[in-house]
Amino acid sequence: MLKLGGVVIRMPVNFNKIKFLVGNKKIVESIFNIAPLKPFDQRVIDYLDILSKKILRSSIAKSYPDIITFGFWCRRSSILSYKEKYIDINNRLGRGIAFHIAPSNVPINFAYSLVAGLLSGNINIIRISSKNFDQIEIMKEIINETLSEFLKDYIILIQYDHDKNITDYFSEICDVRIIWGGDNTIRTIRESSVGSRTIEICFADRNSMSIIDAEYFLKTENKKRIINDFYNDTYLSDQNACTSPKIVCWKGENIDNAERIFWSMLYEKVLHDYELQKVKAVEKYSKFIIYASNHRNIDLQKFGNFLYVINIREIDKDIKDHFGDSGIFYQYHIKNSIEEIVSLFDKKLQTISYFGLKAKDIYQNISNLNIKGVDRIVPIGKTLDFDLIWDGYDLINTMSRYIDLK
Amino acid sequence: MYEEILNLAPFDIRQAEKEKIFLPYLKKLTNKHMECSVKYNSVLHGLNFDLNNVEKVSEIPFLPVSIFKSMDIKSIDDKNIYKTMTSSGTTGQKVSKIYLDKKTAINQQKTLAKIMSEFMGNSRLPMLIIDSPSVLRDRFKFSARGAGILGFSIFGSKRIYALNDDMTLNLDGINEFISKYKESKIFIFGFTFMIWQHFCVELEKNEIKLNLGNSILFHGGGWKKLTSLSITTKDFKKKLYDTCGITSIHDYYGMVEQTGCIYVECEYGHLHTSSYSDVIIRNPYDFSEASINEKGIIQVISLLPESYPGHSLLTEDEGVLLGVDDCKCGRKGKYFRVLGRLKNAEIRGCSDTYASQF
Repeated sequence: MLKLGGVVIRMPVNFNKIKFLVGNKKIVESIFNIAPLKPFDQRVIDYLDILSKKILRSSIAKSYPDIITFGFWCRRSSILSYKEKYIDINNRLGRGIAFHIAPSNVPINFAYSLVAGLLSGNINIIRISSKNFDQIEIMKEIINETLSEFLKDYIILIQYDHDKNITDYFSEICDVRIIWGGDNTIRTIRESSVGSRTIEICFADRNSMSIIDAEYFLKTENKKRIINDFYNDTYLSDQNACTSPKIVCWKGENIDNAERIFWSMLYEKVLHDYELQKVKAVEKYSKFIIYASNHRNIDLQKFGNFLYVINIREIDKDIKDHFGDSGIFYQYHIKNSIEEIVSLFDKKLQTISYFGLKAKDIYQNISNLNIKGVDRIVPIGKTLDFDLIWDGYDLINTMSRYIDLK
Repeated sequence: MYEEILNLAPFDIRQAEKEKIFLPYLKKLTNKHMECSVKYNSVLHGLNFDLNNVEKVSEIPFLPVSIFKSMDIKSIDDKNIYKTMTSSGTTGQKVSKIYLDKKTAINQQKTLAKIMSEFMGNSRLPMLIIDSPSVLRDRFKFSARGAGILGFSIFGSKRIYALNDDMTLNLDGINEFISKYKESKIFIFGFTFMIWQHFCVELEKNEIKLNLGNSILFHGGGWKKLTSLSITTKDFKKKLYDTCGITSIHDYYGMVEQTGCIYVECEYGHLHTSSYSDVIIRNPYDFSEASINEKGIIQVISLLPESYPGHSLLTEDEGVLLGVDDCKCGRKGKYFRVLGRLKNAEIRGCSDTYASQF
């Protein structure tokens, strides 16, 4: 960016390299004339409800559970229940232009990012991965069919291949930049600088864990349900989502019995429902071998190549370097108190999911232990539910400004 | 110990007999590595392995080949390292590091010689190397390609490189070589992709026909690149015949992690285990042994490695066992086919691969 006597000269961008899924070049060119909105603007809520209805009635969308989940999430009643939690929205305005960089391997993610951007009152430019996902094609159609004259200035969905100039340009003009995940991606995108007043939200590489009360589990009649929930939290995304637990800690009495039942039931479910990629069988084995090569006090429960449970007796500092995916879990029995596992709660830890405990109690027990991580404490089965508070950020408040009136 | 193994004829041992020879030998080797490598010992401890319970060769634990990329693992003191072999990874990729003592290095050569004698006889032949001489220039850093060429060079009496440093054909050199040795059988060696790309394709493009009908060609290094170009074994052999008249063509399967123990393709197109090595095809879902004609992951076994625990390795290749003791070529033991590298996983989740596009 060149600065001449305070005048910013923008580097020209070749718009021909950009593929517009929603919106066009003209809208981008006149983007500075569009006004930010108050959070939860009625026109936005109305539009999201139309979008929701269209999705839920679409026969094509039906076979994509992730689209349907999104459709439910953005319906009027759901959005209104979020709105209730924000009491100061009249003093707030969207920051302006939000430039979102959506991840490449969770196709529906961009839609949640879009809704957060709209609800906080911003004009949204969303860079979507160029991978061919059906979900993106379907959502593009639905958005284009439903888009109102008013909202069309607020939703711009684009795809472009590696081109730093384009990223530079949008980074320079945006007031909020949202980068969805991968430390590597964040590093690369940050080579394009943003304005000094621009807020940046980065969803970095994170990891997660579960805590289960053994006795509660043993007493639970419908064990299948909790097993399904745990399966959805893990295997459904190849245990590769940042919300997927990598380590399971048990507390209470009778743990041996509880974990035996837990894993064998999970194995049954996995055998039935999960498609293991062959190369993953080798990768999981390698993960374990490398861990075992310098940790002696461990043992392995192996359920075919579908499920590895590595029992550990202490939480080593380097354990997170050995986390794997597609069905490899570390397991630890809490002997006395949660303080034994405090080293897990570093900056990288995102979600603690639990069964048989209370979120409040877990938080109370860890909040004064000098922890740098833990952004969510949610029941097992709810780890993948998107929320406007994500990764420790309140997206509505972060992406809007508070105007102080006195 | 290993000398006795080497005294066995390379392809005459039936599988049942081989098991009897291999089992005690592999147990001894496993025990040796457990005693000499703390890391290996710790791994087997983690696998809850007990040597006393082993009753079959297939019960000997295997290490993933990739382990030599992630860590230094060896069974000798640093002062006994004779040479370190590395795999030829592309830039940015981690490379395998294999530590050899003098004995293991020598045994690798001897083993290769025994296996090759089956196809080449015992005399050395004029050798045409389909590569450029630059690949060997840095002799201290043994890449797999350099090591392969060096390893096979002992079977050549006179050697010439078919390619210049810029990978173009050294046509004058080749022609001179052919006319000089027209009375003799010629040994041709190279890597599959190099032979295709820089030899066959170039010859064809320039409409050159070479008279190499009386030669025997060995090639290795895998089919990954050719498969991606949809070129089959048949295409490869046909083009070699069309451009040079070569009919005796032997692919081989081998890896830097078990140098010396190569698996050579016979006249019927089958890769054969030798008396010094074996393969087990494993089911990807539980690592149980796959049956004949059932696809699986290839485990390679070699009695050779004493300086590093590489006697039993799980590869990242998919293969299929074609038969045992009954190949039409008459060689005993298992014969198999390599189907290629296991497909890279498309995984879900949110750790991202997006940066590679940026």
